[in-house]
Amino acid sequence: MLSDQEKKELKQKIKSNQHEVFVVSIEEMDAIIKSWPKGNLPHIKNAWQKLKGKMEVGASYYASADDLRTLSNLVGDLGGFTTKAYVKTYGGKPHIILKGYPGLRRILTGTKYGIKSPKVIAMGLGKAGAINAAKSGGILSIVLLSAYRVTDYFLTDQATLSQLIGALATDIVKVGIATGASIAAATFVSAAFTVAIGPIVAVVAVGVITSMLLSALDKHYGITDKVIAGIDELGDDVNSYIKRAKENVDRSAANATAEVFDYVVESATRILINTAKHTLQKFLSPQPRIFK
Amino acid sequence: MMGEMKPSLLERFLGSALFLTLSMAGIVWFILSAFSSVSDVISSDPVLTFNKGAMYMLGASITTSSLFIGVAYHSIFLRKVSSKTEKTLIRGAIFGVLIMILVPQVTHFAVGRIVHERHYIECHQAEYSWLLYKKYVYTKTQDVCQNLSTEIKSK
Repeated sequence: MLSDQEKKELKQKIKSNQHEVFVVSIEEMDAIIKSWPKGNLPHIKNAWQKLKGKMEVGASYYASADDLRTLSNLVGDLGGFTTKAYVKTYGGKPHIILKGYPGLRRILTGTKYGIKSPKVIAMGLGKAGAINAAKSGGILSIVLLSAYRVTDYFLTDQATLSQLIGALATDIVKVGIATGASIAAATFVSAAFTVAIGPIVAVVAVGVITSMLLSALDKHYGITDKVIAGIDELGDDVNSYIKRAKENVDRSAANATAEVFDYVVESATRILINTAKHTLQKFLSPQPRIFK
Repeated sequence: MMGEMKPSLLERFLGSALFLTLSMAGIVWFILSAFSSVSDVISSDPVLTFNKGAMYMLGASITTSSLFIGVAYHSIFLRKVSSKTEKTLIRGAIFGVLIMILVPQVTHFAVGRIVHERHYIECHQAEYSWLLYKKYVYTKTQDVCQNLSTEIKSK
């Protein structure tokens, strides 16, 4: 057990070591910096711009940088352009043949590899390696973009669920098309060239060119905005449909209740009148009544 | 060659079409964007647009054009280009990748210097980015930027 003195000291320590943590989005931080009187100081402005830029660049460049890293690793491991790597078929199966001094290479130290050898695939050599690089790049892009979109959704006040779903949907479609085009390009190049580095070069170039063109088309035609607007409209339609259906059900129920009530009242009135008529007829009838 | 399969008709012409379309679209886009940025700088336009994404297209077009030659030759003649030609084409393709990495950074640096010297401000509200694609917008004054972003939002 702690003594009173120790408790006081601990309290003091906790008090002096308090921190407030604010979680804000990039846009909100931008607004805070702009509205802060000292935010106009050049060094603070520059520091924030650098940090913000790095955050954006870090998220967006990673996947493409990964493909380029594969390409540069490959060139580096082959000892620059001194080693020739090409595809040749032996016994009906394609093989990667490496020509040059093996002592300069760290990973691909042999002279002949199967086209689907794990080493070859990891280095992005040949058709299988390039397709693997394109696929992993595509998956990585989707993961990073999804994480970025979800974080942005939670940290931005005005963000709506439709914006998140719409932006994610178009992101996935764009990445899917770019990855598909890269894989197709790798296939065509591997059929036309014997040089094993060709498919990965095609993956890098076609991946970049396709994603850029898709971004520009999206921006020009406002596809993402239209998808978001469509989802919003759909949401409004669903809500208004549910409201209308509920009103219809209420109205129908009310009508049915009213009809039943009217019928009950009408029937009761008729029965009462008939009974009263019958009773009156009985009592006022001139015919003698016979009592047994 | 033993074990080598004959490509289908679709494969033969789809490959050439893909590389031709991408290289043509890329080079046209690069020329138009570069021309637009240069004319904005020369005319001291109140709004200067720099499409960094389009700057990747020069290198990408060189790469796809080099690959297109090999793929088209293979589609038409159903055989691969000679070893010497192939070496040249692959060197061209790798040169394109290097250009693709360098040109956007160099042009962005140059545009950055120009806008700094001419006291332009970066109009973040009017900019757009997705993955590597980024379109920078610089304006002479804050009011121009405000008007531009309102115009974009109203579209």
